[in-house]
Amino acid sequence: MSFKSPLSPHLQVYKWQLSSLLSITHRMTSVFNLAGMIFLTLWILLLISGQNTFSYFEMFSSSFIGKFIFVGITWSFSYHLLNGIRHLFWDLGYGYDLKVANLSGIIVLLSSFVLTFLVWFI
Amino acid sequence: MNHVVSKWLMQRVAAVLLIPVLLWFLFHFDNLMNFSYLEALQFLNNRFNVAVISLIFILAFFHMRLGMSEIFEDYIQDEKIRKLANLSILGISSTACLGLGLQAL
Repeated sequence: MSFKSPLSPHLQVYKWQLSSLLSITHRMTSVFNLAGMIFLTLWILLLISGQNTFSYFEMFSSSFIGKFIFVGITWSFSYHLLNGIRHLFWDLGYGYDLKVANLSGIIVLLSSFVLTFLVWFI
Repeated sequence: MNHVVSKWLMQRVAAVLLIPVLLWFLFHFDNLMNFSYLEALQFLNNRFNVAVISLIFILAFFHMRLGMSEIFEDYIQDEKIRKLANLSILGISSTACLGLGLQAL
């Protein structure tokens, strides 16, 4: 008798739902956050290396691309922070009800944009 | 406690501690990235600011090393490449913390 062990289903075979979309976004933002931490590391290193070298960072952060990236990183941190709180509630055993999980997901998604807006435009 | 369980728990502990410091940090992030050289130095001259940023670096990199190693476990089959990937995260973390330490001297 031949038996083939099942392959783990890949991302593209899933039917998209809010829960799965928010879940993969949590993981994606964790990688963006890594990029954010690398920017912070560069910031510190350029700061140590002196005023002349730091001017490259100033040039970058005042450019459109720099601003776009920093606002993006702010959103990424916001989303991961807020959805992380949602995950912590699940870890404690709360919020598994489908309606509650969907509602908390929508709240997290909207709040992440609100938080980004508050940080950059207020 | 099982090694995997303690990793899981430590990542949550770091996550909980990160919530308040990261919120503080986010509201300084827009200023921080637009600071001139002198403004940045002035910001880091404040002990409270340095303390909070150090806390973020330690907690975030700790949390990140655990999380990233989980992602590498999921997507990298080759053990050597996986180790290399984990080492590079450790390298970035150490560089950042060392840099902050040097800056604070």
